[in-house]
Amino acid sequence: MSDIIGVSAFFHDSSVALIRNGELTAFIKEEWLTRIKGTSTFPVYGLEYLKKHYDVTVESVEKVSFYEKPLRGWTEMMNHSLQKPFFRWRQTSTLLKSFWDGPLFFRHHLDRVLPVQKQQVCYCPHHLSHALTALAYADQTRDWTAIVVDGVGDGITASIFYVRNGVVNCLWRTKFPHSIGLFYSTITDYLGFSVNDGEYKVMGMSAYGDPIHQDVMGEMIQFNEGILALNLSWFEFDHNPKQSFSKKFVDVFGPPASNRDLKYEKNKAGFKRLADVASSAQFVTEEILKDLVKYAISLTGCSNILFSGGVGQNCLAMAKLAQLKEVIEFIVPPSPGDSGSALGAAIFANMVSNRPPIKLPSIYPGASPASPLAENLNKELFRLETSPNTMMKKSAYLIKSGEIIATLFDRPETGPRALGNRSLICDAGQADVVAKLNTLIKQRESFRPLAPLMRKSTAGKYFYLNKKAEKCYKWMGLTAIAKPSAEKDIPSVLHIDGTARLQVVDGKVGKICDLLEAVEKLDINVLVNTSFNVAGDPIVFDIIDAYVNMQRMGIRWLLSDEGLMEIIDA
Amino acid sequence: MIRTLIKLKTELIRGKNRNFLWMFLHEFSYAEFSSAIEMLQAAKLNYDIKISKNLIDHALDEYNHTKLMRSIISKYTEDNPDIFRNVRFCPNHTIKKGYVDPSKFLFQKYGIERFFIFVGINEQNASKIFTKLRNRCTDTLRKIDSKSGDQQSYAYNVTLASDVIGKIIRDEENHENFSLIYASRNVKKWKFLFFLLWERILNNIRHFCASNSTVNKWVAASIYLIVITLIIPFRFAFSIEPPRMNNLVSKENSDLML
Repeated sequence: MSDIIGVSAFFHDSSVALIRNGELTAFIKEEWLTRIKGTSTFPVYGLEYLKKHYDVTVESVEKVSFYEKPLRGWTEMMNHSLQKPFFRWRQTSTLLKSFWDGPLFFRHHLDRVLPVQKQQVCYCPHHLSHALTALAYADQTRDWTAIVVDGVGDGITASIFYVRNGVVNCLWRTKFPHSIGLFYSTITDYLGFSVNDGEYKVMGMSAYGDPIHQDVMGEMIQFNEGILALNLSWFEFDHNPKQSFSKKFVDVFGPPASNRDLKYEKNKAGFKRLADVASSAQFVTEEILKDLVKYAISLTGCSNILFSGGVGQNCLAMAKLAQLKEVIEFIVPPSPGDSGSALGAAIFANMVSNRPPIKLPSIYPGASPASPLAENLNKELFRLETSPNTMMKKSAYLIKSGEIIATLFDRPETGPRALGNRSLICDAGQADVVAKLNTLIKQRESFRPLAPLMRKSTAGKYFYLNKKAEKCYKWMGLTAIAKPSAEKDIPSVLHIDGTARLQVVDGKVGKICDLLEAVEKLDINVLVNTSFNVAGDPIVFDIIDAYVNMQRMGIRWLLSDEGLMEIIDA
Repeated sequence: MIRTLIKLKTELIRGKNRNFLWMFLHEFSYAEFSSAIEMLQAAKLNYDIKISKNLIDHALDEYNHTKLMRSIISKYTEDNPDIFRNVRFCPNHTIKKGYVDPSKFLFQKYGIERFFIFVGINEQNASKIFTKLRNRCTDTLRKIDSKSGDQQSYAYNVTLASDVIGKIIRDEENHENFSLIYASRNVKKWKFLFFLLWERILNNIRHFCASNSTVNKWVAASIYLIVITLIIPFRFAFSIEPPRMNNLVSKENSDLML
């Protein structure tokens, strides 16, 4: 018995993580297999995949760890709802419904797929799962201040932990409904994007506005002397599952976004009004997070910061936090959100079992897609252009000639960002190709930038890198400010505020390095790297998904472990 | 899945509210998207390459239908924030709304034979609903466009919408033919007829449930209100001790849900 499984489910993206022989052997997001983005149901397919392809059995499993304390989470939320039972009756009804099919019946769901003994199941406090996820990417021999900020988990919305010699103590926490994550989600809802999905669009949009509402927003959310407080008169999320903002919010900021307002055009008043709201929210969020980090350091006396939780995906805010003079080192994990915390839950079980810390996880810890049918079907769907020996050279020429290449190498990335194994790649120097990729192929909003991919030496030439958070550039954990040379050579991958969420390739990690090496011979030093999926879909997992997505996007070339392939009937 | 569609369809045919057109297309886009997901899963689970390829093509059609419907919705709701908020497309709502059950996809649940009969019957229904609603949809679009005063755009949009719906109907008919012909050739005749009848009966039951969906909603809301009222005197039980702060990674209490 050596397998430890971490499970995240029922709220955001479900996932499973497998720790075997002291390392993260597999990580699977349920959405990769169901093909429905944001699948939050119990990860039946993820666990079945582990059984089928990793020989996980009831006998091989030592512990299964769930990423929250389900009864605590449910009870805390019920307690809040029942304080004003009729005012919040819709919220209470939702909670009553979730009693039967939610996390309280975790064991029941697990028994159907992996019927382990009761004593083999453990429950990790939700924010601790997040903190341990971040700890996996840090030097565990040192002391760390771990800060977790998200919407809500176990009734808690933000926590500060002190990690020392494998002992984790919580020094501060705050409860629902006072939540930085839910404040940002409210803005997301107001701006017409889906909550728990469109937050990154608000971040992208914020660069187009000015924080003219910072004073008003400063009234909505405050952090003073360790107390985080939301003025609930601006919000409805605690009693209305269908709308997060209140009438007062609309009275002050105007009607919520319409589809037309969201279309970016220079000097368009409708868009600018919304961008100002986004910018103000981003500004206020950053200021509160800065205060929180300073407060955390004052509590622990330790300036090495781990930051996790859904708010950790705000790479713009993360860059600002890493710049604080109080911070010595800053790490935000590749997947700071709920799906990544399956890893944290697994680490919790690993620690509880008195095992040594796990090895530093790869940035490509996903599971290898394997299907005998896919291998045969491959020939029906693709024509092999060149073998693996010459595929990089040929791909480099295609990129140089303005083609967009899709990649499908071995294992997918953990986090929401494609890091080369499931990416769409093109030359960052060709503005027309980059624009085509962004708006026509990916069909993203035009105000959202694409991310550049480059070597460390090139990154130093084009960007001001923050040495305190150097590691996080490997997985696009934070943005960097561009130097004037970048504005001249690669303007198409810079955001309007002169930043980029770059991926720095350091050393020989993944096949994307080989591609980078091949294009460098043709004088291309920066590539565009965006996730291989149609907007609204999960990142592709196997060759069939690759084919379907390429057909939908009109992409011809696929670079895979088997060679460079051209789609049939493109 | 069918429940909401039928309710919306009835409202739309009665012509009570123009906004029902968007809600109808919105719901139908979920249905088309979930159909694409089911086809894709079936393609992956099936062991016959030719059938898999057909299922992949079917999935691509359904994805395309979703996109076409979304483009019509997006175009006609772009100035109205309230409708826009109500017709935002969230893929995981296909699960919440009951269009897809990811614990077991239809191909796993039914097996290949019944799967194709199910698909055939449902495609047949979809094409019938769309044929009935085609005129109604284009009429509504025509009214909206004629108010805008831009005659060129008006004519173009009405033709476009009509073409889009026409294409969807043609595709649905092709899928229906492929599925039912495959099933009739590969399933024993009695079994084929039995499943055909069975699926039709199930569809009628779904129609019946759908026509009572508003009643169901009110009944459920009343039950919840009664339960909440009954819980109120015991609400102190939900006020639990705060969680521990020190040495959080320990075996003690790790097996407790609280």
